[in-house]
Amino acid sequence: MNTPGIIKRYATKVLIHIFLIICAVFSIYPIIWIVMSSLNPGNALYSSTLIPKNITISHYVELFTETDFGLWYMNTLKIAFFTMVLSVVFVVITAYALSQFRFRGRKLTLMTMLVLQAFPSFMSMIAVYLLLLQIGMLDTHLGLIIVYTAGAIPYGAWLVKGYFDSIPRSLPEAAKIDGATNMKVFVKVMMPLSTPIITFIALTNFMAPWMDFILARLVLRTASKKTLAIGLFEMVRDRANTEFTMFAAGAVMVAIPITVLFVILQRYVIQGIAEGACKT
Amino acid sequence: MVRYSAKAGVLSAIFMGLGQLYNRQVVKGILFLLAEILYIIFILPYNIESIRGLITLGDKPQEIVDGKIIQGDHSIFLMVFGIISVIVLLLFIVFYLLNIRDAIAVGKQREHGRVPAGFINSLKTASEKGFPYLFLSPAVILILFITVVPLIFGILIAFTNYSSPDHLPPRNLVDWVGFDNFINLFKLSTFSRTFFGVALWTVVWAVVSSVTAFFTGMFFAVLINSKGVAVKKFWRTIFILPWAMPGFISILIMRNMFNGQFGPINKYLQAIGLGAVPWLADKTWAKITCLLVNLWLAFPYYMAMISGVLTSISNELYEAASIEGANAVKQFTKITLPIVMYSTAPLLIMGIAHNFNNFNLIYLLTMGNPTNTSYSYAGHTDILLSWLYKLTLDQSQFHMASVVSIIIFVIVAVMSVINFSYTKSFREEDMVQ
Amino acid sequence: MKAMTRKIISMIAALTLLSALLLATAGCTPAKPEDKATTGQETKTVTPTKAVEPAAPEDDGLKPEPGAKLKVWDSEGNEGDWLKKVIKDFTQLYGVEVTYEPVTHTDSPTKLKTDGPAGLGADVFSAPHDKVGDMVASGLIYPNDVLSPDEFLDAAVQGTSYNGVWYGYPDAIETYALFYNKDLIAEPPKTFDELIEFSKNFTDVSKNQYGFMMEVANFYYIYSFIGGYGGYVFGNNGTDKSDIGLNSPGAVEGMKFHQKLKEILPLNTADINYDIKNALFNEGKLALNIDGPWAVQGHKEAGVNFGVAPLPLLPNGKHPTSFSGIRAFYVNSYTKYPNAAKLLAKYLTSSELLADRFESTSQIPPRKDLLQSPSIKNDPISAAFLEQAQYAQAMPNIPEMASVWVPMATALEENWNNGGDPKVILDSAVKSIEEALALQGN
Repeated sequence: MNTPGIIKRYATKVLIHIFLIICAVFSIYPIIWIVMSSLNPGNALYSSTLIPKNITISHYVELFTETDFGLWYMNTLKIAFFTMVLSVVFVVITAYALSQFRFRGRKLTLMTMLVLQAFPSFMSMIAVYLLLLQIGMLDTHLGLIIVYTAGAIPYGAWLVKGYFDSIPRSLPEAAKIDGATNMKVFVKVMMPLSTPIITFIALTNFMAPWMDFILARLVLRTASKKTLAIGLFEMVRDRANTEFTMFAAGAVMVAIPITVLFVILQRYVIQGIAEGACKT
Repeated sequence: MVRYSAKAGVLSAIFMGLGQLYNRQVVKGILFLLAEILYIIFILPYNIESIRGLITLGDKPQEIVDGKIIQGDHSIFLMVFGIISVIVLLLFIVFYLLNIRDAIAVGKQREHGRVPAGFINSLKTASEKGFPYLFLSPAVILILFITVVPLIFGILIAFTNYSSPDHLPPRNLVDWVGFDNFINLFKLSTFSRTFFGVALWTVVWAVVSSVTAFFTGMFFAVLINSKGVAVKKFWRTIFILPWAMPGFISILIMRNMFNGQFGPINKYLQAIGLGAVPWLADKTWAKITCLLVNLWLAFPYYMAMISGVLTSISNELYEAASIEGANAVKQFTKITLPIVMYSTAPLLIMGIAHNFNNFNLIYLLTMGNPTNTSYSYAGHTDILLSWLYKLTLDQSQFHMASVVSIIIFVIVAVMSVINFSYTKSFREEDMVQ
Repeated sequence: MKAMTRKIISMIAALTLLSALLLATAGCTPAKPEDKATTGQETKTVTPTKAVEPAAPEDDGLKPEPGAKLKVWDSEGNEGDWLKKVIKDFTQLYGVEVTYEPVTHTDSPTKLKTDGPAGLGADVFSAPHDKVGDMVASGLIYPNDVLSPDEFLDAAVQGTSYNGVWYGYPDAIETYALFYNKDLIAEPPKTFDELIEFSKNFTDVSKNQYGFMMEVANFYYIYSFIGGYGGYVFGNNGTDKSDIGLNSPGAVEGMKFHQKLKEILPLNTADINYDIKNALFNEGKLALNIDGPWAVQGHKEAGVNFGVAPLPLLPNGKHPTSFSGIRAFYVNSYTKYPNAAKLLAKYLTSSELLADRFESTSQIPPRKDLLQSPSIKNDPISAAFLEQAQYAQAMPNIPEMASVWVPMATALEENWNNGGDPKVILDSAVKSIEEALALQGN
């Protein structure tokens, strides 16, 4: 019986878990502050004690009664969902083309996508506005979805391309030898093997619309179209609007579905493929 | 030998589709023909007018007649419409050239005695041989209009005098001024001192913030993924929370938490006997605070991403390594690290490029403070972009803002390309399998 | 195979371009920006025989264009609710349809820059006065040739004028004042010397207890000291950009006083932020606080027993000249119905309506005839803000003002944290501003 070995392994396990607990505390601590500040009466986020002396849920109530929170939520949900779907489609087909084929202009395309993101974009916003105006998509959810999708492509395509590259060539090649078309290879071979990374892309692009207010404010003009991010930010932008605590409440409400989604999707993001499937 | 290719080429050059018809590819020919006709009817006039607008940037400023305001040309609107027009025109020209090339190619085939393919067959071969182009085109079109047009616009502004107070449309026209702005910018003495100081911190910030977040994310991804860690799902969920919470509120709370006098962090430090730290008040600590806050915000993203990438690594590799006697650390450095870096190195570079311009965090957390009296319009934690904001955009000097944006763009692009060319991903791409 | 490949490429390109062409074709008859004339249909000299409108009280020839439809922007909340209510009355009186769109008033100037030319902007909108210079330079607003300036407070008229021309239709004036916690100090101090005395005894840093706190590196507030000692930002009532008074002897005195306050507020500027000050006041740990009307609601909700008083007198016996902000309506230069729009703006700023507006929003109307109104006088908080407004100076509204904030913030931080010679610090700030201004106007 290798007792010292067992003790050593056990001790390592305990240490690792203690370490994780400490790190978890650092991760959560600010979140707890945020939640507590949403329960703070008045408009100040700060409180001398972690738990406010007079806890109130009035901000949550006000969120639903005084603002269009419910409407914003539905709008954002809709935009996030379609952005997720469209982004995944565009990213994945682009990555497939870049990863599995060699053609003229390929390296140039890759480099361009890398470099395009380097330009500070806030000056160029008005160009997006005018483009959408010209094609009649200003103040529409579809217009915003398209803008988000375009932004998602460079980074996402690189990521998925890298993942596709790591899939052994023998697999698609075997399928081709069996007579499969490019499309078939794509759908039946590459996609199923890449569920983790595709789920990751889906998750990131689902999340983005909940947090972005710059592009959203640019594209959406009428009150009925507003997203959560716009609604929340306008609470704290005016000097007269200093409702930080209501903003905190809104932020908590945003974090909840995103976390829930992550928990659900973890299975796909993390889990490897069952043993025996064609990885070797 | 009948010169099919030359004749077809010339015909296609005269009018799209003629060459194809000559080559007896009727359907293709008609499609091309239609395309050019549609273009001439609907798009050409628009192209001509918009491009003229781009060149002149308008002739008529706003006028007031009898107490009524009569709007004139809006220079900036004209510029944007002009750029869009140029892109559409370029696309058409590319299309035209391809039509010519196609006619010549098919003509050559005929010279070699082969019968040109029918339409259905062409489509089939297209989806096989031209597959990558097919799959790439949606993204290219989208990016061309939504990313490239604004980028060109942003760059062109640097060559105009679009600024307050005399060149703001719609009241005034904006004019092209060539390189004047670039020359004027470098004439300022305080500018160069501020520029180099701020640029240095920006580079340090971009690199350190991304690298720390990346490797911390990797560390947790690998750690939680390893055998012997219980309730993996729980840990990952906890660590994902900073990412799930909208950054704006997190940063505001952090600003209070790190407050030197009132913040809980200092209170705890003092309670356990260590002194209070001037997190936001001291110029060096403020920089560290920015990096720490960024770390907290960003590591979950990399953790999730790398967790996904880890799944592509076959377990058998690790098993084989264990059998050979490699310990955990060796397995990490020889198996995990190279494979992960291979997939994600480009993303780390893009992350650095992104953080270079990530002024949201700086602006909200410190506003660029603590202030630096030897800088002009910048503080110790300002990065190039937040300084740019204060120096130019706040004061509506859009032309100057554009000049500095271009400088930033060139720096970042060059850095990215150089770095990237040296990564293994690029060099050994086709050697990985 | 190369020929084959090329053939294929062209097929692909065909499909691609077709889609691009479709895209562009769709936009070919686009919503073209308002370029041609809001052709002068209704001029002011409409023949009287047209007067068939029911009981329209206007008699100065300002008749709305037939079929006029107006859009109006203002912030949500009390302002928006009030507006929604009163535009119904307007429609009844004049037969002009008006729709309200909620747009935060500080956002409308920026929004208008793109929405105006695109034809999506409001005809009448609310904006803060410090953007007037910018809006006029851009050509976004009509002058106000409809109201009579004598009816409004001087600060309100000046604040919404530019280059000698009046543009705004003022509906509220606001400034900051002294908030005091009645449980901690029964009577507000009348002078800063009294305030300093009180704080010396009251402040206990170890218990997080402060007699007095304000945002000491925020030029918006500290200007009250600079102005109170005779300094100024731009000469000629804030319109002359070549005359910067921020390093004048008065300004230097103001900065010396600023340094003095550190005795009772021994903190670094980085540690004094608005949110924490707000929280301390809410928790009863802060007795005296300089803040504006926007903070009233929050403190009430937090249950603080507080009052508001005008700012205490400076050691030189003068009132601090707080910066005042003037809210006003403006008429969009892209409006299709300038007459109707001007009529609406005039209606919204009439005596009757502004008095009503005060009831709904607690925002002080800048009309001379309402200064003595009992409803304002009977509300102690509003009365205090109104009194301070008498001593306030409108923020300069010229575009060059935008260049002042950052260098002054740097100067204030330096002055407070590190002390030193205020003259040197201010000289450096003014130099920064002058350099930045030199970079403009090329």
